Order: sequence, then structure tokens, then C-alpha cells
Amino acid sequence: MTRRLPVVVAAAAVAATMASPAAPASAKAQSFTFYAKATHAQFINHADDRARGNKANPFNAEALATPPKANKGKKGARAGDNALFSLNVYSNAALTKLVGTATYSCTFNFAQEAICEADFELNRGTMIAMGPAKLDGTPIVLAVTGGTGRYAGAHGQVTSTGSSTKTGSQVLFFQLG
Amino acid sequence: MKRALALVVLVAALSATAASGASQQVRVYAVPTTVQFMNHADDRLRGMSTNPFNFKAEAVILGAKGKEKGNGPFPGDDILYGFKLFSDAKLKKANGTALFTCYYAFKKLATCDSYFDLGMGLVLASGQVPFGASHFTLAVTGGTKAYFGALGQVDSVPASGNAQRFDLHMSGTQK
Repeated sequence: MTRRLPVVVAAAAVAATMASPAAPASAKAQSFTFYAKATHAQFINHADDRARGNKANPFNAEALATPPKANKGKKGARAGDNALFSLNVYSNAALTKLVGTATYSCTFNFAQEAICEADFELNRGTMIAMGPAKLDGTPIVLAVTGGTGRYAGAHGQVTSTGSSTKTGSQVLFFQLG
Repeated sequence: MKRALALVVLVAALSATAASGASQQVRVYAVPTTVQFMNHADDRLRGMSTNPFNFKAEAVILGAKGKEKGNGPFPGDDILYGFKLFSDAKLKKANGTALFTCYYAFKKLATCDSYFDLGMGLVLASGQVPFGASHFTLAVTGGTKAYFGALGQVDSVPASGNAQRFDLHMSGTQK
């Protein structure tokens, strides 16, 4: 899959920041920004598993038929398909100071929306985040659910938006409480 | 001087409130709207012969002669559920959506990741759900916006009709 992560102007990130509540006051409350650029992408098309699952499944009468419009839309990105993205993470907008990598593992559900788990492998520790993503260029807001090292016990959210300064790069704004 | 003192007291009070975090209880009724079961039988079969673990084939074959018995769910299968959420048991007042992604392992036990989109923000919850269970509990692992930093649990019980009731018990939120 060559579709890149959402690209929107940095102003959106600022607006999202202002709209979001401040991080709770605690010893670990902090916010910071990283920059990322995609290095690899893989789309996994499970059309055969979907078709098989519609005929052979353990739910019988309990199962609902998938609505006809649920899987309409752009090529690919049907319910159950996966998309994997690998990114390099930098501490500066010029993308010259590499501080780690990130992986987004996304499973599409309905109406072109996916649930994504993001793993950030940074120099001083790791963070995990999860949540829905449209993957259509709109900002992605994931909940940070944990971490290790410097980020042990991390909780909060990360907003990913496109950067206006570097085509194809992402601004990752972390708010931890 | 009095004004300055009052300001200090107010700031201290607000800081204490923020540090303790708010607790929220949210009850929603969910009606499934979309579902997709993914049967990975071919991937399992392929995985028996080609895998990075050097498994012995007989150790991973699930049924007699390499064939699966019944329709599972078997390890590797997954199911996606979309729900419409209501704030009342009569299912009149819509107040959001929810999505469950459940990935089956062994003994028909699934690990489910879910998110509840309640309008003012998202609540994430994860946990194990046995196949066919209507009573289960998930751990709230986080949230966004109004549910920033949420922790707690979601209790699920059947409701009238084909609805499911979810009670979200959260602490540490900003609201």
C-alpha cells in the first residue's frame, strides 16, 4: 500500500492542541513534539478470508450480514484488511536528528476506518498508542496507553498530522499526563 | 494582597483537582450494526508447512488429517463488530459508536481491542472475551480529549433485545 499517512497543514496540529485539554498536573505531565517520515508500507488484502468468513463462521444466525455499503469505496481497505507503516522519528522538523522509529499496525473495519496500534521505539524508551484512524489525510488522535524507560507508565494522547514544512512527513504531538 | 492570596488558593485547588483526576461512570446500550468474520483457514494451513518456528506439523494441526472440525473460531481468526450506542435502554437517544476487533487464540478465547466514540472523545478498552460470552469485563487502557488519561474497566452484560449494556467505570479523566 503506497498510501501515506495523513497529510494536513501544521496549523491543524496547533488547532487540535488548543482544542485538547491540558495534560493533568502530575510529576510526569509533559508535552513534546517529534517528526516522522514513512519508510515502508505494506497493505495486506484479506479478500479470501473475508469471503470464506461470510460462508463459514461460528456465529450462524447470530451473525449479521455485512451491509452492502460497508465495504464500498476506494480500492482495498475493506473490513479485516491490514496496513503496516514504518516510520523514522526525528527530534527536529528538518528530519536530521534521528531519535527512533515508529510502527503503525492498522486493521480496517468499516467505512474506510481502521483501528491502529502504534509502537514508538525511541532512544530513551518506548510508547504504545492505540485508536481509530481514517488514513485519509485527517489528523489521527491515538490514546497513549503505556511505555517503558523514560516513558514508563505513560498515559495521554498523541496527535499525528501532516507537516507543512516537509512533504510526506508527520508531526507527532505527544501530551502525557 | 488578599486578591493574590485568593489566586494562590484557587490555583492550588485546581492543581489538586487535576492531580487527583476525575471519575466518570458512563452507561451505554449497544446495538450491533455491522459485523465481519475473517476465516483464516488457508493462512493456518500455510502456516503449518511454512513458518519461522520449526514447529512439528502434528503439534499445530487442529483437526484430524489437517482439516479443521466445525467453523471455529480457530486461532488466527478475527471478527469485527460495529455498534451504535444509545444512552437509554429504549434505544431512542443515540450517543456514539463503538468498534470491537477480536482476534482469536486458543480454546475459542479472543483478545479484543475496542474503542467507544462518545462524541466528546474516545475511550479505549481491551481484554479477553470467550466465544459466545455476553458477560465480560475489559480494561480501560486510555482515552482522548474529554477522556484523556482514562483508566478503569468496562462491564458488559446483555440488555433487552439484541442490545448489550456497557458500563464504563473510569478514573483519571479530565472531565
